[in-house]
Amino acid sequence: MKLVPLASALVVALVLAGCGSTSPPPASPTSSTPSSPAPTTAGLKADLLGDGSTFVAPLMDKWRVAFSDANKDVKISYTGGGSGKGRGDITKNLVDFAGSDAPMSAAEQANATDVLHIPVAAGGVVIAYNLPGVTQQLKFDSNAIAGIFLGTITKWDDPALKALNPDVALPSDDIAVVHRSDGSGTTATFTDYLTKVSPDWASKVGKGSTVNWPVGTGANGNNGVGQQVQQIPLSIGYLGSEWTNVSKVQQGFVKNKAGQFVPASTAAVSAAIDAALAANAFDQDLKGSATNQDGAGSYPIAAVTWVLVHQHQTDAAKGKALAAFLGYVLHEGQALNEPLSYAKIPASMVAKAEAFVGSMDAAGQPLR
Amino acid sequence: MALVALLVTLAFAAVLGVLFSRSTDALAHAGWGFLTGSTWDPVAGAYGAWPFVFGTLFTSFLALLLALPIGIAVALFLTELSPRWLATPLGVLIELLAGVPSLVFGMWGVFYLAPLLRKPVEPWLAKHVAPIFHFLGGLLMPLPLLGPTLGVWLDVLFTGPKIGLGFLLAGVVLAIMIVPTIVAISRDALLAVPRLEREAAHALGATRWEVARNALRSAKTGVFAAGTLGLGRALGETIAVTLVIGNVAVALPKLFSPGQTLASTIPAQLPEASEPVFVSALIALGLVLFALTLLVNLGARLVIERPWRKRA
Repeated sequence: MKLVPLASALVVALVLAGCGSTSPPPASPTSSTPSSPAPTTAGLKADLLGDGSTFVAPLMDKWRVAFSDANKDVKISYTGGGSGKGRGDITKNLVDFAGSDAPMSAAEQANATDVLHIPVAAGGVVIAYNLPGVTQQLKFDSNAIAGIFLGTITKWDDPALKALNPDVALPSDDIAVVHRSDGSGTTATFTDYLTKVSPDWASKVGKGSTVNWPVGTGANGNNGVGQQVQQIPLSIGYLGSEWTNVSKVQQGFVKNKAGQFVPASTAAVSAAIDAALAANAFDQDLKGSATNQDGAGSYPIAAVTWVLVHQHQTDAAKGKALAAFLGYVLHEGQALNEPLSYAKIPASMVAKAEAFVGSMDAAGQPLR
Repeated sequence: MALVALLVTLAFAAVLGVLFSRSTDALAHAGWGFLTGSTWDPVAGAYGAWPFVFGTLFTSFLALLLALPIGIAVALFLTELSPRWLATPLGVLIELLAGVPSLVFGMWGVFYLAPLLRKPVEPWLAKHVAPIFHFLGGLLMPLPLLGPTLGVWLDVLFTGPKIGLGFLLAGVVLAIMIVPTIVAISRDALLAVPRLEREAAHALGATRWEVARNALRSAKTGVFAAGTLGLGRALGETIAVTLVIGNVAVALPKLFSPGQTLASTIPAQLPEASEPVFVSALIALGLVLFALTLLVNLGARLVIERPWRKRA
């Protein structure tokens, strides 16, 4: 009689344990130790707390573990919660650093004047779809994507899609659109791109982490979108590039500004960031948008993700540890980006970010 | 003892106070349009929560409609009709089902029920049942007052994109979640009916089914309370619903269409909400949900206790 409650309690416990993780498993099964160990700096001792973007969370986990392995007295924890939460928490000094997929707006920065934006990684937004029977990779351009997500293009064999994919036998069925139901940096990047390339989108929907989608169903999180696209035939959605190795969905090429059809590879994303830098898309605070850039190899829906820290730290020990951690992330830590499907930050950006980290101080004293 | 009761009241007041104070921004911005508006557009600053209120009410009452008959039937079976050796383990099993985390039901709904609804069930219903309701809706539409609204509602009841996810799936998943609650409380209510009453019914020549019906009539208030508690759980259910409902703001009772509820919107959008008005609007949604649950519970209490009837 006692066995039944015990067995069921065990089942419930196992299920709960399995329900915890919302981040993708690592792409490479062999990388359990980082390929690039962190440098050990003597005398570092602090407990650092960060939260914010879930986009960067898998990579952040690798960085903080590698850094703590090399600097035993530094403990770093990073909880997710979303970029909006991260920006809010660093403004209220509830965390030591925050991850954010979008830079602070002017209004937000006014409440947090000494917050620095340190770019740490980049990623792309992939157009994922599920077309049973179609083995070729589909090509999309900005009009097609805007049309599909606005609801003006409703069938797979619409002339716009057929013109882009003349050799593909597209079905004459309705397109089932999938978007995010929760607020997300991936949505912010995607809608930023659509706002730039489609005046229709700009006037009807606009850009943001949460928007009023004209058509489609909403799924929770990147993995939710991946699952829905995987399960519903004839569906299309957008995914962060770090999730595509987990979801077995088909990915499309997107036409960039130069007229080339590019996949969302780390090389194409890096090319986009380089092009954005060259075009002065980033201001002197390293805030900016990298979507729809020039360059034959640039992926048009790419974005940088930042770590936000206060320039003027109150605790010298924490400040030193934070500066050392950021130094690791910007240099040795970048080697961990590409195995996890994130793109590296280009060298010129690293140099500028390095200068920001160097400008951090505690009670007037420089930290490095 | 009195102090503990006071603490509970204070906690209630504190929750209400925070909800009120943090939502004034959005309510001032949107006015009554917050409850009646149908557009939720954070980019444009338009906050209309009616589709969420509708979605919450529609899925919860659908779940109650599905779960109440099943729950009462199971409770009746357990107390009146089943042999003793079956009743106890079955009762334990049902109480265990009440303890399963709702996330599990949501995941089961997404992976197992949704494809089932998408392929055999929804197309069949659309083909065979929809025309009947289309006809009934047509009959109601010319009638005055509520005629047009009810007519449209009946007409669109069995329509929608048929992707599996949506109001029907959410209703079914919620129904499965609240059946154990309804069974447990109805069973207690039925067991509380005095044995003498049952024996008297048998003595007067009633059949087993008539005895059971009589017991159910005596246990009416308890069963009603069971339904209210089940409805309360369905109203507030967050994670299971957000996985299966499709998350699109729709304000018509289309069973096959995706929809959205108050409880699923708040945790979805709150982490990324940075503008103060947006955050305030989400907290206002919480206030609306609080008020809704309160109204439903109050209504149920009024029906049970009928304070307007003078007690002799």
